[in-house]
Amino acid sequence: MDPATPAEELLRIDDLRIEFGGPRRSVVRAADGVSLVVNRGETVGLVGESGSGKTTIGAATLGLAPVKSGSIRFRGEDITHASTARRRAISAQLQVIFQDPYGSLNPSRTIAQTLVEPLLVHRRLGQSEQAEAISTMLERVGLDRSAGARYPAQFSGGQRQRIAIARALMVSPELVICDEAVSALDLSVQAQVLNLLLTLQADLGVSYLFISHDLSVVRHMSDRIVVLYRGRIMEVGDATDIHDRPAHPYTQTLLAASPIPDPGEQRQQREFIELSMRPAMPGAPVTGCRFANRCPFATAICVAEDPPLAPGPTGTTVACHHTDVAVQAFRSAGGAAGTGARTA
Amino acid sequence: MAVTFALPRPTARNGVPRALRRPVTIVALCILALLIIAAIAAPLLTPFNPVSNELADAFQLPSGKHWLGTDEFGRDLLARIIYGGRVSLVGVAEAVAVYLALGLTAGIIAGYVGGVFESIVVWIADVAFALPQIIVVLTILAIFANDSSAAMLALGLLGAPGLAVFVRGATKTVRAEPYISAARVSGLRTAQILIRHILPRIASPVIVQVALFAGTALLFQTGLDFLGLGTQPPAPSWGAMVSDGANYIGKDTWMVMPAGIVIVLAIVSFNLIGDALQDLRGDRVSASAVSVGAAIPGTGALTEQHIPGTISPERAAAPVSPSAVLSVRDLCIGTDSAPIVRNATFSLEPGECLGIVGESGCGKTMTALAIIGLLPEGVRTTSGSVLFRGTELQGASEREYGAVRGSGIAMISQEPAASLDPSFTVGDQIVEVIRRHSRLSRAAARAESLSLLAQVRLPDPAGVARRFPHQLSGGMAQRVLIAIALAGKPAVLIADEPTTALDVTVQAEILELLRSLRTEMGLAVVLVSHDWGVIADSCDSALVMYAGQVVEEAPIDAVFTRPRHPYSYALMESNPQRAAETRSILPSVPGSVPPVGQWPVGCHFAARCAFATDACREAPIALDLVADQHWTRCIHPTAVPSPALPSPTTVSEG
Repeated sequence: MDPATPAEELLRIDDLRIEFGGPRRSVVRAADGVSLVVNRGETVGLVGESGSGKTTIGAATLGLAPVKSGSIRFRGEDITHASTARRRAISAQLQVIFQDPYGSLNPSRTIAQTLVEPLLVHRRLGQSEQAEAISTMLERVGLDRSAGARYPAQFSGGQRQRIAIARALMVSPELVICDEAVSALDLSVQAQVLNLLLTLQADLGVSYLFISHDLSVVRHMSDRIVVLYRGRIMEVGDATDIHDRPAHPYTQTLLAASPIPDPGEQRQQREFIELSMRPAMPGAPVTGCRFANRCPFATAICVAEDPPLAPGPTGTTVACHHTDVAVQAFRSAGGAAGTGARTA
Repeated sequence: MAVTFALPRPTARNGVPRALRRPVTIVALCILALLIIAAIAAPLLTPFNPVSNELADAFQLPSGKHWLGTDEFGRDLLARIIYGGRVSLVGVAEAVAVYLALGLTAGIIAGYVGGVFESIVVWIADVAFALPQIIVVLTILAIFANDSSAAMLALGLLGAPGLAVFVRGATKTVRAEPYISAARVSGLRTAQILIRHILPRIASPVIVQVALFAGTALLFQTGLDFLGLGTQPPAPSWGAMVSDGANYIGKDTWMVMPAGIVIVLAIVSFNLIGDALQDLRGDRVSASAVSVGAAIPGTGALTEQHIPGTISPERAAAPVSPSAVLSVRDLCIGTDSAPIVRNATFSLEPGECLGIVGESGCGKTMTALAIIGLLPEGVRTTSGSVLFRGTELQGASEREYGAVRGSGIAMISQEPAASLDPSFTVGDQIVEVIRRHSRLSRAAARAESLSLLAQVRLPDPAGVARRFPHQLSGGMAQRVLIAIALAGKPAVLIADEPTTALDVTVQAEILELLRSLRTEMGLAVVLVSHDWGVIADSCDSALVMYAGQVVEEAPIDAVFTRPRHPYSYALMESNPQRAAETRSILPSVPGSVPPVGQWPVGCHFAARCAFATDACREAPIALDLVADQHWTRCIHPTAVPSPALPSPTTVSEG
């Protein structure tokens, strides 16, 4: 983005809380005070392991998960509890691409029947204009213009994901939530789809909320990254800062655990894993830092007090009582090759 | 493992679906159509009045005048069947209309919207199931004497809750599909979603239910008439005709036949149409996911399993390492109609970890399964050799394999939770395996199971042993499976995508565990993975597979620093972790892996390869030695550039 123009806020999530379970079952906090902003034209990555709440946050933004408290504003409008009619109006600007390329298309409808749906809601087009819009979009996502007449089963996983992207972009949305959009794809196909998303963003100026468990994919796609653990934000910052100079022990663990596709560097990185990774103590912490029971730097204060999100020593915003210690340890273990070495 | 690939749909786009083209279905449709048309056009079809008595003609057999004969009053049986159809079919229509209107509406709303409405529907259904239908209908008939319509409407009403519960279940299943969420996000109204997405998906099973219910309703209607509770004489009805025929069966065995046969034909037709619709649904939904075992047209020339010349003379002559624990040579796997893996060759030393890497559909898993003799139904090894400690396993009997599995070669899979029996504790499952491999007492086996759980670094082995599989996390379940795999003290462990379903931090722990087991026990590991990072982390050497062939084999560092096959290079380069710059366009390979049965004659990768020449496409390419222990199935190995190092690694520290 042009640094001269001030960033325009597209999505703002404030202090979002989402709970599942209760009143008789134990309560799971899928989101526990999450705040984040997506600006126009940028990509924000949401990364974390299973149970981090990343998918739930995306679902809540789309109105598919119940919000307990907090607010979600889209283009300045509070959509936290938007009515169905309002949601319908917003959906022209807010779209989604799901993970499962097999489940996300209705197997009994042709591609054209699927792609025409967003048009039925938002635009009054004649039959021939609809057909033209569909063919153009299919071409744009790298498929044959004639693909519309076929059924999902006739396409490979990568092609189906292209169709899902086409459906999301039929109405020229401003924000697309990509929920593990490439996780089910093979490496060479994943690269094709990532390239397509980047090209479309450059052409159309669309913003992405890019949700994934894969830090390397998130880093490649995002301007900024939000690291989640058990419904809490651990660290937020520029993609490069998060990846190269992580200040939160959890971000560091996540990075060190992602194997580097280079045997020499991976050998070095393993040494850092052995230092930094600690098996989880039984029981999830209910007070203080959620990561305390797995953290190599945890002390009494970590269990007693919730660390607030505050600017850290490496340019990111971190929720940790011991960022200085963590950053120091990560640096001196510089062997964590693909990551630590770059802090120099 | 399902090996499936798409074929064109079995029907022409605008043609009649295959399930409806079956002769028996066509006959059933014709019979019903005939009965309906006949009932509507009755006066045009028969000159006889169904209720006028011609006593002189009583008890006649079929003749030129009375095609189906006559009854005890000399009434024409054909005319009575045609006119009687009006009564019976209208009755069926009344019942089905009520059944469908109430059941479908209530069910679809209950399933999609849920809430209080759903509870009420389910509650009403529970009550309706408890009511004896016959008695209710007889009571109705006692109130509305001889009113057939009242009885049939009541039958529809009583059946509707059953349909509602069925529709509710089907709707809930469809509702959970991601494409429903996508439609909601698209802004479709609930009514639109119900009509466009839910209704078409549940239509076929609902029509099957309706067809079956129609059969039941017809049986019920004719039953009431047979008992004289419905249509009253002399009005014609099929049930009453059977009843009349039965009265005179001693005198005239024919009279009961026409109406009886028509009733049977009509009911069977309803059921056959229901079956056909069910099959039609299968056709469309699985839309030609055809198992490899099925015949694939147009691949006759490619079905030959072993291609001569695909192994270079050097490779063929390379001696089997005497210390190798496992040696696979020229292994071919396929079905009767198509090859799946061609000429796989590799060997494994004790303590070594060999990575098999490639995308889905390249034959990695099939190669792994072939080693342990667990290929899926319809797939077999067609030639080559699998030597385990000098014993030939290719072509071994199930019994011979039994002696090797677990105690010689063990396996862990991608879905640890699915590989454990949910109804037994972890401890019981390990003890069972231990006792199969050794003659330990139950107590000794239990002690051994705890030491195995400790060996896979599970804290509190005794506590874990008491747990059931659903009480384990994914990482714990994979550790338990490794413990079970170790119970037979195997020399080789085949790990098929062992960490793909796990979180990255858990993956690091499992890979670390496998590494230490190799050094502690000299365990040799075959690690199947699509993830170059995992391969770089754990393997001593790597085997790259593409479309059923080993395209490259080399020591691990050589594969990464100097790949000699364009596919290995392209696959590595498309990894975002190695990208020169974030948010840059990744070097990607166009197209996708050709499916089984559609491999080209020459190099399988040629169509997607940047360095391909005509020579690549002409003939099969041999696996050739290009450097020390470095084999490639490429005739332009020097054209392959060295990959960029993960960026920006060259920055040194300090």
